Amino acid sequence: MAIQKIAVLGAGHGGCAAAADLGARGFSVRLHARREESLAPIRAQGGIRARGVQDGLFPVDLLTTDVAEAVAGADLIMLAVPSIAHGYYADALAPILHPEIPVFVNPGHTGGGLHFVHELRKAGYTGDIRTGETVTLTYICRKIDPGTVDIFSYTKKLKFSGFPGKHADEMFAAIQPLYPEVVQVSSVLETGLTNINAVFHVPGMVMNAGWIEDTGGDFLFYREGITPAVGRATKAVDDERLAVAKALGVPSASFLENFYQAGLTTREAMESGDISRACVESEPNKAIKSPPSLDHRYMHEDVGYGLVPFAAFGDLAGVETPTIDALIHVSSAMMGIDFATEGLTLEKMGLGGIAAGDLACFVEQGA
Amino acid sequence: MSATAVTRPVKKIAIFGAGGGGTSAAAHLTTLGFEIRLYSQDESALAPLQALGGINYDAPFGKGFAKIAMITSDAEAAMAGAELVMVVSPSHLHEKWIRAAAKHLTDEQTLFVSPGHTLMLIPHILRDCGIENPVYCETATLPYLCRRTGPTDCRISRVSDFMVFGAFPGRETTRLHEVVSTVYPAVSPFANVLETVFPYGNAIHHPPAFLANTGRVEATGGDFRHYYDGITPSVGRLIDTIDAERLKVAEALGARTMPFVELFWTMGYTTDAARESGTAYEAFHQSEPDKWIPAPPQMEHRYFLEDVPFGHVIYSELGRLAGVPTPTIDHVIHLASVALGRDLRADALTLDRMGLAGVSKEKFLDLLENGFSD
Repeated sequence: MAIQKIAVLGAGHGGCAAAADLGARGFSVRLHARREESLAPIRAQGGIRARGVQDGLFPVDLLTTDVAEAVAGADLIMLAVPSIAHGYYADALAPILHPEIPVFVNPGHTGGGLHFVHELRKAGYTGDIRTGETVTLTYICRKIDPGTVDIFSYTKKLKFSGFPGKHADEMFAAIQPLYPEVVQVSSVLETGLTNINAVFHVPGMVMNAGWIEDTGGDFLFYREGITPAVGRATKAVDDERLAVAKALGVPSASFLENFYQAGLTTREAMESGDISRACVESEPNKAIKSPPSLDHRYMHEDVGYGLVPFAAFGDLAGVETPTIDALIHVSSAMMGIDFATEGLTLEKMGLGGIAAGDLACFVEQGA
Repeated sequence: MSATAVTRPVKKIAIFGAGGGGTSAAAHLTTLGFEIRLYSQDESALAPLQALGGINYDAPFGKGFAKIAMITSDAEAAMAGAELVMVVSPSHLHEKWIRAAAKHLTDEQTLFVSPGHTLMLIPHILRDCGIENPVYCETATLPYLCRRTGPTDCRISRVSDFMVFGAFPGRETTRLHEVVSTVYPAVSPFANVLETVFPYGNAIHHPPAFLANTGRVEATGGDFRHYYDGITPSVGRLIDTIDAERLKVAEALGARTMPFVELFWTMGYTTDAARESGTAYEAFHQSEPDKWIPAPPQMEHRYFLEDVPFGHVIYSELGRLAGVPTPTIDHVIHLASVALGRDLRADALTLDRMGLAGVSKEKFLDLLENGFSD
C-alpha cells in the first residue's frame, strides 16, 4: 500500500520539518499538536515556512488538536514527540487505531517503539500492531520560531527497525519511499543499542558541566569538550554498550565505526581507537557549539532514553554497566532529576520480568 | 611512646615536609618564637633554603624573612630535643614521613600530623615500626591557606582560626590538645581521629568539582578559577549529594561532624548569606579566600590523585563498615578512575591497608577510643 495521507503527531522540530518536507513532496499531511498555541502561528501564515532542504511556505492539509481527526483516513501515523508524550498519544489512539495502519516512531532513540506499544497496551488496545522506528530523527533540523523550521539535511544511513519483527519488512517498505536514507537492521534492539548520541553526549555534558554553566556553553562541544579524559569515559560507556549488545546477541558496531561510517571523522582517527581524537578531528562537527545549559536534550533524552535503557538491557543480560550507571547517577544528582526512575526502564518498555532468553521472541512476535 | 608520657612546654619543633605547607609553618612558627628544624628528604628542595638560611614569607601577619634554626635531610638531627614533631605533607606521603620519624621518636615527643585525616593508617604504620601502643594527634585541615611561590618563598593568604583536632587513641585527645594548642590556639578538640576524617573538606568537593570540569581543564590547561568559575549550580548540587552521604556515614558511626557548608563557614571561608543558603554552590561562589585559586593545569593532580584515594575512598570504606550505602561517592570514584585510565582504588586508603579488614563496627570504635593498649 503506497502511503499518501500522513498524520504527523507533534509540532516540534521534527514534526514541523516532516510536515513541511512531506507536504512539499506531494503527500497529504495532517498535523496534530496538543496545544492550539503551537498551531496558531502556522494557521495564521498559511503553512510552515521551511528553509534548507525545502524552501518556501508549505500549506498543511489539516491542523488540529484532535488526535482522532488527525488520524482519520491516514495511511501512516508518524509519532514525532519526546518519549514523555508517548502515554498521551497511546491513550488517544488506543480506541481508534486500525491494526493495518503503521505507526512510525521518529525517533525511537533506545526502546521508544517498545515504550509506545506498552503504553498502547496499557491503554487497552488489544489489536495487531505495526511500528517502525529510527534511532534519531530523520532530519537534521531546528525550529527557529513557532512557524519556521530550518531543515539542514536528511539524516544519512539512518538505522531503521520494525516492531514486532514479523512485520518489519512491510514497515520498511512503507517508510523507505518517504525516507530513502533509512537502512533496515535486525530489530528494535539493534537500533536501540546503536544510540550513539547517548554514548558520547552524556560524558561530554557531565565532564563539562562547570564549563557549560559558567559560560553558557561558549565552547565547541566536539572540538574542545571531548578531551582525552572525556574520550576515555566515552570509550568505557561504549565498551559497556557493546558488551550488553553482545550478550543479547544483537549486532552492534563501535562508536568509532559508526562515527566513521556516518562520515563524521577520518579513517585514521577511527583506526587510532581514540574517541577524543575522532571528535576533535570531526570536520562536520567542528563548529558545533556546546549546549547552553544542562537542561538540554543531550541530558534529558540521552540519559533518560539512552543510558537508562542501556543499563536496563544490561540488567536483563546480566552484564555490569558501572560507567553507564555512574553517569546516570551523577547526572541525576547534578540536575535534581531521578533519571533511573523517570527514564525508560524495562517495565516501561513492556519488558518487566522477561527472561533474557525470551527477549528475541518478544521482539519478533510483539508479545 | 606511652599514654602516660610527661608533656613538656613546646619550644623546639621538627617539621617534616618542605612543600607549601611545611615552609609556611616553618616561617610562621619561627616568627612566633619557636625554634624550627625543617626536614625533608628532597635535597633539591632543601638546597636553596639552606643557601638562604630561611624562607621569605608574604602573610597576613606580615611580610619578611624567617631565619630557620635548622634545615636538614637528617631526621634524627631534626628530631633531637624537639618537643613537637609536626608532619605537613600530602596524605600519600604520610607513610614515608612516619617511617622516617618512627625510629627516632621518644616518649616525651608529641607526634602531630597536620593535616592528618588518614584514620588508622599512622597507628598501623607505627605498630609496623615496632611501637606497640602508638599515640599521635592530627588536624583535619592544614593550618594555612598557602602556596609555595618560589624555591625560597611562600605566600600565606590565611591562618586558620578553626581546626578540628583529634588524637589516637581518643582518650589522649585532651592531653595532646593542651600541648598543640600552645602552638596553634585554633585547634578545637574532637573525640578522635574518626572525627578528623569527616571534616576533610577537600575530599568532599575536589573530586566532583574536578570531574565536572574535566574537559575545561584539559582544553584550556586550567585557564579558569577552579572554585569561582568551576563550581556552578549543578556541580554544587553534586557536592551537596556527596556531603549528604558523608553525613549519613558519620551519623551511623556516632561521629560528631557538621555539614560541609557549615564547616566552610566556621573556618571563615564564606559569608553568612552562603551559610544561610546551605548550598555548596553559594558557599564557594561567595568565598573570598578561594576566589582567586586557579584550576589545575591537567587531570593528573592531587584533586584526583590524593582526594579520591585518601578522601572519597575513606568515606566509601567507612560506609561499608557502617552498613551505609554511598552510591554517589562510589560513582565519582569510578568516573575519576575511568577519566585517568587507572583504578584509583588500587593504591587507596582502604580498611585493609589500615589493618582493619574484617573488623566490626564495635571493635573499630573501641580501637579508636582505647587504642591497642589493652
